Amino acid sequence: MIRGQQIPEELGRYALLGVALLYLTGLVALPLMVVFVEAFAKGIGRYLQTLLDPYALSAMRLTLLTAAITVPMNLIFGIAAAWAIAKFEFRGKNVLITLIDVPFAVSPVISGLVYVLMFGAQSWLGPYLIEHDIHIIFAVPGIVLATTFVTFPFVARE
Amino acid sequence: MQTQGNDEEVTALSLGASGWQTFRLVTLPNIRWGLLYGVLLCNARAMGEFGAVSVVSGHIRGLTNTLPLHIEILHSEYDYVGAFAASSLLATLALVTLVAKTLLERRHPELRAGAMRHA
Repeated sequence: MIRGQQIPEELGRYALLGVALLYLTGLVALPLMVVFVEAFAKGIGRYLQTLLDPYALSAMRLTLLTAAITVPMNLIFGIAAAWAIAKFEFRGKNVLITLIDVPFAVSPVISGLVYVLMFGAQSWLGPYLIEHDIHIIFAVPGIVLATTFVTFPFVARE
Repeated sequence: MQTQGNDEEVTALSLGASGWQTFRLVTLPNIRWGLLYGVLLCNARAMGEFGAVSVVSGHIRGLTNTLPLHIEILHSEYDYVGAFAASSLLATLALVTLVAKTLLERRHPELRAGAMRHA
């Protein structure tokens, strides 16, 4: 009697485990493997050649530069925000907590668009920026700004 | 940080430590693992961000192209080896981040609880 109940229970557990494994294999493991298989599809020489392409190198440099500016900036302001929230009581504290979460809540495309609307040629800051030859949108500062905005909550929340 | 309260800081200040000393010697050691965890996730997202950067970058090759945008261009030019090669870099970065995150969580189980609360 007891054995009879145990076996279906075990079956259920294995069935669930199987479904989860199948799902993860199909959704995560296989695509990840495909990335590496396709990357080396034409041999390691071709792989290195595409990575050493000047455009590829400049893209890597910019990505590293962006991260190198963004992470320390978010570190400093994230600690400041976390410090203010954790150690002090003040009016509008809940507003600040909600504001910190905004980048997680809005779509990244919107976050980017916000900066285009703020600093783009059509914005009210636009004419001033053009006059003084300051490039933010379609230039590195814009990329850094957008990335900083999107990643701000990570440090502040932890 | 919120769960730790500020008893320790108040103690340090009452013993005559300056604000900066309190931060450096009391607060920072308390939050360092959580901080490292946040920096890790922040870095991963910063390097992988596509949507926001795509809108503001203007896709000028060699000037304002980041790695994720570079992958998109290669892929749309049917250079699959190039696209996947660049993707493999980002994928490796993601795997390294995951391993580091797992190691951190194993050493400091309280982080996992925190991460789940935030998620």
